[in-house]
Amino acid sequence: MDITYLLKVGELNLKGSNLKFFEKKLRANIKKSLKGIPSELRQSQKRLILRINESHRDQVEKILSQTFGLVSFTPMVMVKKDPQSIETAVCDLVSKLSSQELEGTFKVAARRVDKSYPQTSYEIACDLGGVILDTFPKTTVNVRKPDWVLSIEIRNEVYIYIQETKAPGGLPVGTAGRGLLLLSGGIDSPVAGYLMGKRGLKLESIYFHTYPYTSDEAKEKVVTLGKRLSPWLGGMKLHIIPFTDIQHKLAASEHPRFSTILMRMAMMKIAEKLGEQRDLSALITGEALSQVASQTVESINCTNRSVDIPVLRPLIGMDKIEIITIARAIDTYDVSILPYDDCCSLFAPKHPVIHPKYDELAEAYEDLNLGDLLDKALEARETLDL
Amino acid sequence: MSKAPIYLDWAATTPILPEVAQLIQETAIAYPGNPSSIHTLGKEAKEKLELERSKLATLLGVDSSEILFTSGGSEANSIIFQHFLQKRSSIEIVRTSIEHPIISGFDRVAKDFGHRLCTVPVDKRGVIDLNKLNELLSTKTALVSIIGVHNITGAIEPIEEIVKIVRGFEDSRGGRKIHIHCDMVQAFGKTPLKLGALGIDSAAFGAHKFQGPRGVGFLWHKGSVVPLSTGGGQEQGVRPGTEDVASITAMVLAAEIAIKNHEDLNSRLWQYRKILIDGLQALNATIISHPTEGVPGILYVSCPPVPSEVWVRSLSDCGIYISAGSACSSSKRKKAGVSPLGISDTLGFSTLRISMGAATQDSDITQFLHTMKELQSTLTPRENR
Repeated sequence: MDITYLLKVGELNLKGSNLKFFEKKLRANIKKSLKGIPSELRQSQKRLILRINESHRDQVEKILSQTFGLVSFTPMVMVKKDPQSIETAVCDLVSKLSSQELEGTFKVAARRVDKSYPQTSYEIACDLGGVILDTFPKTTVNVRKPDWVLSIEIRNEVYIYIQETKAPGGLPVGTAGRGLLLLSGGIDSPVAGYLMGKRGLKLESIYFHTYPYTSDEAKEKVVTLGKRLSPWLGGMKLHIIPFTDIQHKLAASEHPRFSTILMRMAMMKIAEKLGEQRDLSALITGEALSQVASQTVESINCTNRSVDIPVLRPLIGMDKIEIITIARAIDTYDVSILPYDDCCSLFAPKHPVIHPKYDELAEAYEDLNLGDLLDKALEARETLDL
Repeated sequence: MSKAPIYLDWAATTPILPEVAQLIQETAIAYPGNPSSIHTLGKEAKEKLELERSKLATLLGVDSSEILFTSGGSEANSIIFQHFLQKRSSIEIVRTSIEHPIISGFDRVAKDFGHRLCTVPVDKRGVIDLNKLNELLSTKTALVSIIGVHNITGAIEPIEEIVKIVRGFEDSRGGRKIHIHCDMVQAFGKTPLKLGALGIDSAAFGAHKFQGPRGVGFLWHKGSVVPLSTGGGQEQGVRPGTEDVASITAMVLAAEIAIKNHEDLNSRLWQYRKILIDGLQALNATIISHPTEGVPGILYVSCPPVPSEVWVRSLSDCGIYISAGSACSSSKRKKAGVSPLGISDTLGFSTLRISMGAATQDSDITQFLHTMKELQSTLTPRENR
């Protein structure tokens, strides 16, 4: 048996003349995510109608709940615009509710987009409410706080549905350009990627692997995180950069107090180079202001000025609890806290500089003369399609 | 590097001897019956099982009725601990601060059952503080559990002195018995072991630590114990389940070989240990194990500032297999399992356990030290050299 879903878009409705571009992208994203699942997707005014076989229900609902640009989805029945068909469909739909729900309260939310329909929204709601009360006498009306809502939309066709499932909202991935996420294996960076995906950015990601100081398990952890993030982003490439040689050079720096920021500057440089190669217009980091020494405003100034590409930091004003809440919601938290700590603390200075001066840092960075090593690391990268 | 692998992690597990592996297959084919069956094939299997039990008992100087075959050392330890945890009245259990996780894992359960746990500290080499043991014994002490050989440092615990103290205490409280249990998993084949003469009440063993098969071991104990699970009444009802005659037979062969060879092996391993200690000290390593006491095949050291895992991974890439000794949490720079030894966090962050056995050759030691030296120059940041 087939199920028909009504998909609602959110912020897209605020778009003006370029609305079609956003809608087209959203349809393309849904089709790509549903690849391999027989489905029929069409647009009807500002709604999307998706038909699938019921056997794919769980899989499809998981995909829709991870599709940016949608605010909700719901299985619905579609009928002709005649009162008898509508009443029959409503009674049929309501009869499928549990006995507990049928003893609870409800309201009817009617929306008449097709103004040629002879009844007003209010009249439709009143009539259908009466039909439900007559057919299911144990239920009562509560328009302020109902247990369930029967929604009806009169458009070219009539859509009737009960339970809407929330989708993440935001903008369709790919409508805001392309960016490169610096993915570390911690709690913050996947959340940063999620938030930028929600604003429509198509992402690739980059991870710096410092074997043997970081284990292969730590790398696998990042791959798992990427896989958890990927469905939200309509797929994502992960570039794994071998960073050990650079780390050794950094360890030999004459300025051990700067080593953490110098390392971040080198990472940003490599990310910028990869961005140029892959046509990615911004870097995304999981930095939150002052969370650690390398995330003070002075440290951020140093890493920021080491590249010309824009650096987006969606977590900059968030505290750890807020970040963890999102990480749990997107199912990355349990992976992020796996105990495959890296052993790069070997290179961490005992007393890191907290308020560095850019000129000093820039000079120390120049002294390292990392140019060739950065290019070599970039060339030696391993790329995974997640 | 395409050299032959160098295995220096014998305290984790040992390679099964070819003749022992061969014997599993031969016995499994020769004795197809279930030892509990009353037909001829069953009887033959039962006779074989009892023959092996009796050979093992003779090796250890104990009565064969005191040996129960188990799935390994963990199960053997568990049987004894569960027996005491199920005591209705509150008891006191005395154990060392360096017990294997199988023993320390019972701490929470013991507390839940209302029993009191007393911990005997060890010195920096891992040897028990006998005075403290004496102080901790009380009228409610029912069980004293001591690890025979510490799996991390290789320290041999002074069982005879411990027995003397505990039995002396028993006399002072009117002779009421205290059960002395020893986790002997690391001791077998590394120390002379005449169980019957030790004066203890039970001991746990696992075959894979002495080049026997995995998944088989035994509990030696006197008196009755409460079973872990119910079933067909095998192994005096304490360890139900059809006995694995083939693995048990192979374990007994491995035990015979280990006991026969242990003196020669130890004298060879003492030489290797000396070379290891000298070589590692030249690399500024700190030797945590006692240099001239304990079992010669287990050496615990620290090679700062490189973290243990980095050493282990790097050596592994060179075909050399050792252990970090315990799990590292780099963010805290602390290690579980080493804090009882009172070593600093800096040393604890970089510990390595090198353990040797019958197949270890002097060229393995030379190659290990050479590789450590090479790796040290690449792995250590310049300011730390």
